[in-house]
Amino acid sequence: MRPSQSLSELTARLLLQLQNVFKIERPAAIIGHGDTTTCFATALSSFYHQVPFFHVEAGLRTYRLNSPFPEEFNRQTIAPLAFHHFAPTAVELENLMRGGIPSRHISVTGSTVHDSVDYILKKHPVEMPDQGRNKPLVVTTLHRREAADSLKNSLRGVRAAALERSDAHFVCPVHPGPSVQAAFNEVLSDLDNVTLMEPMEYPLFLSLLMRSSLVVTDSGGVQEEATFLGKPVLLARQETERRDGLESGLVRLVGLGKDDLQQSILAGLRGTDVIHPTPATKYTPPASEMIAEEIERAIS
Amino acid sequence: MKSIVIIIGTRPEAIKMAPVYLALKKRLGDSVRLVSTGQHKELLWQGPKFL
Repeated sequence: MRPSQSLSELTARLLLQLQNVFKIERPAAIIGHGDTTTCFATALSSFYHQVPFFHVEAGLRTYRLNSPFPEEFNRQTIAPLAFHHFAPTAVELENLMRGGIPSRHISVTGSTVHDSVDYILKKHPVEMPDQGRNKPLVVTTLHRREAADSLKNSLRGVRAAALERSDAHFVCPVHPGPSVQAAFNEVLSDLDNVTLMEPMEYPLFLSLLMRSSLVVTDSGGVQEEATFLGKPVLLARQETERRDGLESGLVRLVGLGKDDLQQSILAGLRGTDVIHPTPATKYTPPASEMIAEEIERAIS
Repeated sequence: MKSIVIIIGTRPEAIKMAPVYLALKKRLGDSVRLVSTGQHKELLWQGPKFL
């Protein structure tokens, strides 16, 4: 991330950059993903240039405009700008229809993350990181924008659990944001059974997830990847708009508080909690193929 | 033929859109383009590199 990049600067820069893409490419269709500011600016630019915008991972909602911030706003404003919506499940289809989008403009495809994980794990032999071999492994990624104030508090919960379970190893790929780095260093860097590291290359991160006993995260993406691999997830958020793992009982919302996190991690490691590793999610027809087919049909 | 442009800006987008890019390219060939806005610069290219 650029140093102290404000949302206003980012959005303005994106709109100007994207204008060049429209000028140079004269595209017949534009495709964007999810709820980032990039996707919002892309949808808006597509509308300004009157080029059909196809939205992948559409229809996620918390219905609280400020949470997650600014992603929920992005989602709600992308929807009326999109020509076609690719919803991961029937839940997102329903959200979109509730927002007045006609069903003929929506396809339910599943999540493309499953295609990515499946593909990468087939193509790249699993290399195990060295830390904590033969020990229960807890993978921890915490960094969300709206959680910044409470991040240290959450990390104190991780710390307390790590102190109590010195037989387990905690691996934390730490987001490059300076405030996130500072918080992890302050709270966790002195513990022998905690490894703080740079964000890992993706296949290595998936390998790490594969051999973990428990995943502690505030990332919806990691939630999806971990549950696809059949791993129990403690989701340190107030709510989640992603369905992956909820029905299977793999995902537990634990909030951001120190004590909640500590107790949930200890319970998760004891295996006495409701969460248990289950076989990885059933892999159904590739979402990306369905999306490509629909786009080809729409532009021809 | 006019181009089809996929626009990404962060690592999760790169990871999740890579299979869409590959699937589209299989059908529509070189008219499919992938553009990065660099919203998260250092995180971005780790995804596609492995695909």
